[in-house]
Amino acid sequence: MILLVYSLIILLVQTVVLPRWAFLGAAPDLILVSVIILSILPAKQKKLYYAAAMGFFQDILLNGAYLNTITKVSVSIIIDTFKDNFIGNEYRSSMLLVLAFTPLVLIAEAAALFFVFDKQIGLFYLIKTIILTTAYNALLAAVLFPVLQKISHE
Amino acid sequence: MIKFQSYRKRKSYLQAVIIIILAIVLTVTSPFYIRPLFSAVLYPFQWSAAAVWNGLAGTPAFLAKLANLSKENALLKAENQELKVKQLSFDELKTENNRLRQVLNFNSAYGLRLMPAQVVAKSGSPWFSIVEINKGSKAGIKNNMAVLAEQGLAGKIIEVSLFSSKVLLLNDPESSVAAIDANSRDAGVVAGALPAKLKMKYVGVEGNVKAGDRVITSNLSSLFPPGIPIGVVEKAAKKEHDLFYNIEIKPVVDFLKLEEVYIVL
Repeated sequence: MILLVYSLIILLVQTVVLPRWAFLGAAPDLILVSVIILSILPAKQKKLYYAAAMGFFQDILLNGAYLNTITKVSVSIIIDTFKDNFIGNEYRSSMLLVLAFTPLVLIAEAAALFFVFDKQIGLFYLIKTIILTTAYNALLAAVLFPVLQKISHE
Repeated sequence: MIKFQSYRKRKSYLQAVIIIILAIVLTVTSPFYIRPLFSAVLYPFQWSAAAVWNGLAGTPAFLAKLANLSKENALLKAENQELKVKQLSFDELKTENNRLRQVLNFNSAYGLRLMPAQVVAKSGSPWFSIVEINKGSKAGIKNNMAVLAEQGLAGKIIEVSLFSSKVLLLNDPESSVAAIDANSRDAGVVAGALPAKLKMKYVGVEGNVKAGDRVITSNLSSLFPPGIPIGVVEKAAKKEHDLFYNIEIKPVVDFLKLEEVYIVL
């Protein structure tokens, strides 16, 4: 239940508040950050369904492809597969994974849009977005980690 | 235990594959009811969040004013506060008056019937420039209706649900509109370029496009009314063996700060 409330808040902040704070066209992806942190934490919740539902609702606001559903589910399953290899601090692992997966997800999305949907995305804009969004996501991961840690124990 | 873990992982992989296949099927088949249906579910929450956020955004200034009240001249300050509130509502009315005046100008200048709408949510993805507005099929909104901002063309309606609609903004690379250079009358197609630029394509090098020229919608467009401002030419370059100009346009509309739009009925 608490995860449901958290998810709704995150979804609304992502779609209503954060776009108004976008810097040079880049805004953080709170949902990706939440999926990464929840996947690394030993939570009881069904993380895969959480990733799918949040990605799906993110896609509802877009047009064409359901890319967020695919990327969020992929990130969740990849982390779940390899998380036993991450020994030690969960906070540090979450931060590292946010730093690693944000550019990967953005590149995968941009590549899919470019090659499959013929959507023109400038290289300079792509690089700028990757740098800014990764920095934004890392900052927010530090804030969201303790919240999600609490939720995962519920 | 190891056997159970391996079973659990295999089950997770299978579930993930099923979800990904479902997402691909949804992308390919794009059933017309899925997005409007879930948009309608999400809309009341988004509308409430937007209302709360807009209220919160105005609160710090209001609180700062309250903090200046002292006990000695409570009466005077209360009166002052009342005047301030009146001033605030007067300012709001004045702003609204100006805005409506601009809408009326739009109406009289272009003979358009416009419906105002508020931006409730934005796509949040760096690869799309889409906003959600608070008018839907209940208000008579239909797909492909043109959407204007106070300064000029903003985009078009791409999806309608009961109480809200999605607007594909002009700066999205999927947007395109037939346009002309208001000075040289050279025609072309204006397309979006993220984050907030526009490009004018297919203008032959024999044309005479110059930086500073105004670009407006052309009467060749079947969706957009002619003569609506789009932007100003920022750069117009032609190379020796090129067939077309390379034209960059600065849009008149600030797509990143869009709060209110007008739908052409």
